[in-house]
Amino acid sequence: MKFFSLLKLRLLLLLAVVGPGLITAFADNDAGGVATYSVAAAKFGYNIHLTFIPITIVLMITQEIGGRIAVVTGKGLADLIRERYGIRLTLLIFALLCFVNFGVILQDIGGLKAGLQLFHINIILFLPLILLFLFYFITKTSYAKIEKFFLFLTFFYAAYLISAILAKPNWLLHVKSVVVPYEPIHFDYLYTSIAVLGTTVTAWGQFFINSYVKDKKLSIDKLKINQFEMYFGAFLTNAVSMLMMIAVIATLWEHHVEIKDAATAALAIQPFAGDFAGILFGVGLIIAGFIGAAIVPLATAYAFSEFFGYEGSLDVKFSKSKLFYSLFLIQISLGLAFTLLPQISLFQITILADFLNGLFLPLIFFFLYKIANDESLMGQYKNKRWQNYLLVGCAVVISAAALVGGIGEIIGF
Amino acid sequence: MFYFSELKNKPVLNEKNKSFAKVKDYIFLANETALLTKLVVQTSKKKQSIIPIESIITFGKHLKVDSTAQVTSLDDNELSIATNLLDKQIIDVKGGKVVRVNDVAIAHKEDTNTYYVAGVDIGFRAVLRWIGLEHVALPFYRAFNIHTHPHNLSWADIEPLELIRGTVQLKKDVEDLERMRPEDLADYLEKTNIRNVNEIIDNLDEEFAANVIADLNVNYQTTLFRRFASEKGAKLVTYLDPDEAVDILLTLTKEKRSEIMALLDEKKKKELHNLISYSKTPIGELINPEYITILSDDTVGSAKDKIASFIRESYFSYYIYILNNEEELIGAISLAKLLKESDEVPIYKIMEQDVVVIHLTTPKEIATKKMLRYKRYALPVIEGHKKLIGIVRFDDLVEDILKKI
Repeated sequence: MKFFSLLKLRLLLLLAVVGPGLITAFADNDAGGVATYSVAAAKFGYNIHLTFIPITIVLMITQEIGGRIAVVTGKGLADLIRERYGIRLTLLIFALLCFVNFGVILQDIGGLKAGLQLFHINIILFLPLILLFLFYFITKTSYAKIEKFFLFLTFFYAAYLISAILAKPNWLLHVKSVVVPYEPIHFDYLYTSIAVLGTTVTAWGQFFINSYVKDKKLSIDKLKINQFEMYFGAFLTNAVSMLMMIAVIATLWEHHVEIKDAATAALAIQPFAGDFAGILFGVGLIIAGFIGAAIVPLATAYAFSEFFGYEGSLDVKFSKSKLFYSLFLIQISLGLAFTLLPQISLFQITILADFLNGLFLPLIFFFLYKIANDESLMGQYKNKRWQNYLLVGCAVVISAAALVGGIGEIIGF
Repeated sequence: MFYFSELKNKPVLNEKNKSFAKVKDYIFLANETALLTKLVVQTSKKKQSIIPIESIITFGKHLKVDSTAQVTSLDDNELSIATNLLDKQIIDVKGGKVVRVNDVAIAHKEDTNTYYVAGVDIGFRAVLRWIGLEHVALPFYRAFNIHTHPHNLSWADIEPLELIRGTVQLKKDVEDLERMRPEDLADYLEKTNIRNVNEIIDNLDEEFAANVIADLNVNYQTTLFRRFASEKGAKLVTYLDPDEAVDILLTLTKEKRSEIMALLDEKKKKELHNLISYSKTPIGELINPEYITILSDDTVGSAKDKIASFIRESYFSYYIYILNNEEELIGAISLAKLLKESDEVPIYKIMEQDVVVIHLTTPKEIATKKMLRYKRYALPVIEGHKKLIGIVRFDDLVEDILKKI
């Protein structure tokens, strides 16, 4: 009896803090993510699973640090950067963030569009309607309700589990190739693995998790359970992307089918895994695009209000937080305009945005390192030594890989 | 006056005009005047020293100091511009975020030879200044006919005590404003520009805002109502005195007026419609439909109860009016007289029967003269066969006369 009441208490505690870790992590699997995973899996097959462990660890570490900073200091990453490094660096970081985030927004709205087209839905009419609904929802609803809605949407990611099962993969081989390379590694694998890392561990995600945890106003006694939620979210996210890649590998890679985006992946797996698997893949893409199109512009808007000190919170009315909400609207409107132009190749943007994101990350890690080790800010909650090793390790690996991958791409390996 | 962005990292010269350090920071006292006391200079890569402000020989972008000055340290109540003020979040009294401190203005008082923090710049031009683009951007501003000036907050607007606790807090705030009397706030607002007024009114509680608007001059009232969405306009109209509301509504375009009217409840709509239709008559624009009536065979007690339930803050009338069953005005009684009588006395026994009245056609001059002669603070307006349609109050009449002087 005592055991159950204790369990109940634990669960209630978990429910109180759940949200930021899961939502940010799942938003990392946005439409751009789905596209990058599909393309990478179709190209590199089992070898792509080698990225699972490193990416999960990096995501766990960085999200946890971000969440901890937010709970302890009550400030967002952008707040802290502005206050410690002054206006000049702030402007530079903000410009970079806007640019990279806009690339991601294009991916997401593009993914949403492609997903709708799969089901022959009129995009000229429905894409603007969906985004309008999104804007209305974000401005008119409180933090708590928005969070519940997104948590609800994440359940739809189960679609990938089913499509993976329908693809009848060799499960054992997939699990084994997480640690053992299936075949020799090529040079352009590095470039793609940076892209995969960049779509999962994102610059915007780092800003967002800070701001979002701050907006949730968690008290410090919830820190432990908040940490657990971050770790769990990171693991679950990568498990989902792995399922997605399994579905692609078992079908497209096995039959040497080349794809260039997520929508063609959804179509291309139908002959091998059945129409239903393709449909589920398409539904997953729509959800991913929708979540991304909501969260990423929000991340820029949060960062803007923190950098320049304007009111910006999901709990504040539109009239008190005009800049915050307007910035959100501008981004999705611009994204929509770009997406509806038929000439623009979203595939190019996808790869470029992910790659830039990968280059931007070490800089973000530098800030995380500095802030999380500042005793006057973090007190007893500052980084432990092992966390520092991992963080610096991540930054070095990412920088090196980004550099090597980038050079490789330029000189055409 | 200089901005901190223009001074930071500039060379520090000694008496022989030789550069020996760089300016890093200024130290000031966190009190009402924010006097600068010390400056921090970087003498070598790793060494910073603090020297007293008195050692400055010439101030400005080429700072010259007495290089023999004694090095000191920080006192308890001293704060630094770079770490305690610059880039910090400015909040209002309620803790709402306003903006960040983009730059700090430092001024020199010649007569006392002191330096002080004049204020903080919170505008976009300060952002440009930090990246050296302020003067590059100015021609563009001019080309697009945008008038800009640095957006400074004076030191007087900042709470020095809160600064010591680590927050940059504004003194004036919505709550402060709501504590002012509406009349005084209106006066204060009339001294600032209409955009400010709009912003402040936006943040006030609606009923309070209506009281303030009622006290603004007609131009401000009209401009504000033109800017308001009809929904907001309608809400404010319900809080305004009906005669004020009509005055404002009449200055709006027909479309806007009917939009606002459409959003009101039936009773209010009818009341305002009547008032608007009277408005073309000499006395019509002053008519106020808020008054108390009772029946002649009611008792003093029930009259008192009715007054008690009717009274609200803006209520201003010293009479109640007595009607017969046909709703004709047959008497009036002053509140003073009512108070003297015991509760069970029926009204008709004590009411004043030859009521001083005016008509819609009565000129204002006559109305004023009547009020003065009979010492009334309000006169009932009747139409046709003694039908009471409203009252004209002394304060409204005086205000009208005052406008003409």
